[in-house]
Amino acid sequence: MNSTLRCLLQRVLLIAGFVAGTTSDVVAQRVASGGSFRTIAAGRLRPLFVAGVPDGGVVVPAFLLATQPVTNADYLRFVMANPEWRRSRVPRIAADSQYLRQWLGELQLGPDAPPTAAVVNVSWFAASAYASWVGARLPSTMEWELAASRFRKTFGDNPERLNAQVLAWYGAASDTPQPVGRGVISDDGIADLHGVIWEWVDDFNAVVTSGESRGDSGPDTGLFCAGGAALAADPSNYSAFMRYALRGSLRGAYTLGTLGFRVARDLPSASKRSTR
Amino acid sequence: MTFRSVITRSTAALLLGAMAVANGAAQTPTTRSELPATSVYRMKGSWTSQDGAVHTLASLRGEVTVLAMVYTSCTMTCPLITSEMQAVQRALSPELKKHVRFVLASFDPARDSLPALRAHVSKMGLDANWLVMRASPVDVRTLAVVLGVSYRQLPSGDFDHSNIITVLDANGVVRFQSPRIPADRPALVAAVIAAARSPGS
Repeated sequence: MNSTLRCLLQRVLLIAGFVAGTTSDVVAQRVASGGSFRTIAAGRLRPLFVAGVPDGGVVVPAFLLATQPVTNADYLRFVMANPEWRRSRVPRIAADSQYLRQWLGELQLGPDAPPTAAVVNVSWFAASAYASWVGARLPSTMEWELAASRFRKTFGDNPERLNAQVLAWYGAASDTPQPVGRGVISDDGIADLHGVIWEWVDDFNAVVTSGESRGDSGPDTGLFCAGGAALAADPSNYSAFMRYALRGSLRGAYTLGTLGFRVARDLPSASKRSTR
Repeated sequence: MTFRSVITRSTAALLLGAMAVANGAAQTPTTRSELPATSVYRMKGSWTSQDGAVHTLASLRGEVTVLAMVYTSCTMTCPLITSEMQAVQRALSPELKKHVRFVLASFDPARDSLPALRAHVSKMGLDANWLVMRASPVDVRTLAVVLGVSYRQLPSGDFDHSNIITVLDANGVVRFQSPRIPADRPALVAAVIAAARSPGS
């Protein structure tokens, strides 16, 4: 990856979103081999560039989100148990040639892949397969954005204060893989949503661009023309725009040295349908 | 154009360019019995067609396939996508027509029940070489991702989606994709003919 892109991604990662959210249940739930989860209480969120959304946004139902991204050690266990996901065996349709390139060997992490650092260079197919293996799934875009918006305990309601903190994060960014779980924790007890890696979401391909969509109300119109700010929930939510652009540029087999993932689960008794 | 939209567009272009470079992947040699490393049919998926038959993606192996993702209650571009595919079918020789399969895969498992799929076949006048299929949301997402098809459901229940038509060879390797409507019909027909002439990949 070139330095410009790396810089850009780091900037994206280090700018925290800011959306007022409801308070959340912070009861941790331990789930076998899927890591530690916390409940993200239902909340309202306005998706970017979607026409016909009510003023208050759409309700994102409550769900469980892993407190940390999946680490190299976690992912190694998955590869050991699922040989088809070894570097030498994964088909190109499922992961590009940079898959797990930071690992020393097929089943050896090495100095560039500390066990406690987030696993990166994994494709969407790989991330999805891991999630399925631990009885979980990837979070949706809306779920991820909801969880990543709740930092009132740290930053209060002042976006300027948040921005200052974000710039401080940016200045402290490092190319060295960092252990997960040490950054700022969200109100819900979720670590590393901003500042460590970019994360796959299940519906990253929900961004419809360039000559697509239904013709009359294409999101392109909203994205590239003057309608952008009018359609967007919060024009000051710069980081959300950046994430939107990144997701729209990804393909399912792509891998990046700054792109990892965390898993999510449905609440045991939750209704899965979102309010329209 | 606003400042933010400039940033967003240049960001997207930069990322696309960088990733296109990063994605220069090499194909690995394959045996006749194993699907190629780049075959779409390596992906999991269980699809049910209008007649109730269940198809894994791997079971689609063996015939050149022209495939698009639509939803049958769509009144905008989906009928146009189907019409473009019908035009491709008409352009094929009688002999070739027997060996090319046309597939419509639905975005919308909630509304595209088997009766809805059958109604669509009848309404659009699709012949026996067409499969109109539905699957679970997970399998829909997987197929869309592997084909590079973007989609999302709108608050109205309709979908924004890519208008991509894909030509797959007998092994499920993508030979050509027409990215938009109106489709590049001559290129689609040429890709179907080429895939039928050289099935191995």
